[in-house]
Amino acid sequence: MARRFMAAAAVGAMLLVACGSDKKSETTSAPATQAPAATEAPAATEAPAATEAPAATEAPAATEAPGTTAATAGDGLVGDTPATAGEGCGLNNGQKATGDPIKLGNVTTSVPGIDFTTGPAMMKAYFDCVNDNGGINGRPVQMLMENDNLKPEDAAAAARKLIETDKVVAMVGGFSIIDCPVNADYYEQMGYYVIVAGVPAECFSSPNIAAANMGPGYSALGAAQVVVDKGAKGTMITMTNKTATSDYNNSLAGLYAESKGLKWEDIQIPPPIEDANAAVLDAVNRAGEGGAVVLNYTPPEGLKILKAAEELGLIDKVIWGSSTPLNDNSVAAALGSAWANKLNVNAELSLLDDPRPEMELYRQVSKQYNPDAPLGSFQQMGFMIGRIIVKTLLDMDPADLDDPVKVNAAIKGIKNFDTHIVCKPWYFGALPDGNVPNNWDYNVVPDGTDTMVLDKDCFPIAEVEPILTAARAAEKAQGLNTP
Amino acid sequence: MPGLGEYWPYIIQGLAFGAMYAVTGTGLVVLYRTTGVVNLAFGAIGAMGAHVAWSLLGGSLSKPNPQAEGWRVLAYPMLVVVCAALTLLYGMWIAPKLARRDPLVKSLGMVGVALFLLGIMKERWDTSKPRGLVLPSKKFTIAGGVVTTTQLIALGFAVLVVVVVSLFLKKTATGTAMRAIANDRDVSSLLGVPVRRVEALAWLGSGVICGCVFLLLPPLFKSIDQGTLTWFVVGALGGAIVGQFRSLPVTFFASLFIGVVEASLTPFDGHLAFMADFRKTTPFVVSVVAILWISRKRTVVLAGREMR
Repeated sequence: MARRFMAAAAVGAMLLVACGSDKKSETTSAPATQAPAATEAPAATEAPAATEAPAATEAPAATEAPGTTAATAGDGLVGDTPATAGEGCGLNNGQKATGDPIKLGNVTTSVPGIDFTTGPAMMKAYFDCVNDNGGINGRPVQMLMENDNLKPEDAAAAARKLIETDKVVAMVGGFSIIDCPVNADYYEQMGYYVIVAGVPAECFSSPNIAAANMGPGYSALGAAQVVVDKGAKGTMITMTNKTATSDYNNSLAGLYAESKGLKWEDIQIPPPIEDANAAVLDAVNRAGEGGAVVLNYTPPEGLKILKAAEELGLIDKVIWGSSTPLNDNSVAAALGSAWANKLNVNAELSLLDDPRPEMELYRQVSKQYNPDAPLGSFQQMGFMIGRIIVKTLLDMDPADLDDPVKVNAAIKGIKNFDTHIVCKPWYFGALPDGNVPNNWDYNVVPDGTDTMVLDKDCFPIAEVEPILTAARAAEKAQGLNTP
Repeated sequence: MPGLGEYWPYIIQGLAFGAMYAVTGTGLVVLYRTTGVVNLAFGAIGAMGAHVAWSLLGGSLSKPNPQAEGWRVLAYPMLVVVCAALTLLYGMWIAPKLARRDPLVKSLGMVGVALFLLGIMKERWDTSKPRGLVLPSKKFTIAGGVVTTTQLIALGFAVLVVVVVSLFLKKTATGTAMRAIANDRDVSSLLGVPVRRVEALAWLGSGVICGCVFLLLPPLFKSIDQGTLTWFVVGALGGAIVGQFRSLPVTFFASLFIGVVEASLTPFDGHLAFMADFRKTTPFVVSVVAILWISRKRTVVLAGREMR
């Protein structure tokens, strides 16, 4: 009996370690109250840091205020032009939507160490606000979210359930590590044009998928550009979670580093990180004095590494960079003064305290409809996708809103969607080699208190592989992202 | 492959984690020997205590690593109280109902508790945002490796727990009663040992140890990540298995060994880089090797029972 017990206990324990969180299906609740009241003007931020030809690793010097940093310019950057989705939530008429909901689905990853649900949660918050303000010509929007549990079989089942059983008319706002590789062909087969916050390469190489973000690959590349600009020498270490799609995450940053004469090593650690001290010690040792370490983690995991580096006195040994997820004020708050200006976070989306109207609306909606969530990049992505789909649906003939073919044709046709959340207008594209509509970025740094502040204004992500080169050529030829 | 001197910083990290494995293993062994239950909810209970303490400290998304100020310093003892109370509650309320069931059923009961608590934590505390529980800590250098006071306390606490628990089991009447129950619950009861009361004491002791471990573990993990803390117990099982759920000193040294090996596998690179991928398997590999070694005589003794 004892032998049986020991064997079962060991097997059970190992299975438990591997087990993810429960599959979760979330729908929009009944609309809350009314349109968000005007909030106070965002707190003034400190002057952001230098943007041009950043030298070495010292704290950058100040330039202009963040609110003006993304303005106009003749290169097509989004400035102070009105947002395509207009002011307020949807129709912005203060009337509650009624009737049959318009169902929108998404597949999202939520397992210990990788929880992306904050993005869809913010999109749902925007839908709630829209539903309190007339909905889609009177009809409410309903979000159906399925957790893929980081398992291909669950991701495949989730997409089929949403499209074939729940009859969603569009797939929008999925934040998943495996949805794109598992379901890209299925979406193409079903004629769905999917808007995601993409993670793996397949989110940027399918004509049927376009991302609001640029994903960990391009974002880490942006961070690599900055740390090289700031004088990284010798070796660049990149770090990410070890998952089925991890090889892509830092590959573009690696190509860039090598093109600049740096040696590149990628460290992948199975999530969640348990011994952060040993992990960061290893990374910094490999990078060597004056090298660079670029992180590609969600805030909880990334913070383990950064706090361990602080504990071991390793902050000033290398130049630190990170992809977008660490552009989160909760990260700045957790890091404190030791990290002031010392972590370069690539920001795919505008500053969290950007005063332009669309970001102001994001903060208002977050405060009223998603009050427990801090401001952060994932939430911005969810909000932005919500804005894009709601505007697209509002522009359609109301009689066509239950027809997935017509809804997806409308999604496919989105271009020049002017938003204050990304550097250039967004488009779907449906380009044969893949879509990378968000390909200009900011760089932000923690200010030493509780805020991420601008360090480098919108800059183009380097072309180190053919997809982005082809996308930029198509943008030029078709005028896809002209304000 | 790194040179031998380069291992020293990793050994320091490994000793700290090994110490936590050792204390956890001690808690598991004592409880198992007294009640026949492998407390697989040890980590979940500790994680729950850590989350409660985080909230009491005033933690929020804008203050993910709250510092203790004023009365909030009571959050730390409250962590221990929560762990002790949850463990004792289970021991007095549910465990007696399973007392005569198969050890497997008893342990699955603990898995149920772990999943239940994990569910509560996931709903109450969003897993997508960072949370940490910090202790005041200083750092200094020993032979080129950075050592923190938290790591030293972890190691010292492990030694203290093993010594005190060993002496308690050998020298006190209650300890003798615990050992008697571990040998034969029914006979002990017939001889007048207050079985329920002694078992309750074992549950309480396990809960207190759990609370103390989870005061130290979050600063080592730099997080109170629910999954990591909950399943930390699995790694700690390795040392207990090597100690055959009986010997505290063997559990202690095996746990330290596991912790050091785990950390030392980190810096491998080049053609040996794959070694780092197997870090998390260390407790299982060590356990399997130990079981094979023990069973070479074709007799395995677990918790005083011989298996052929």
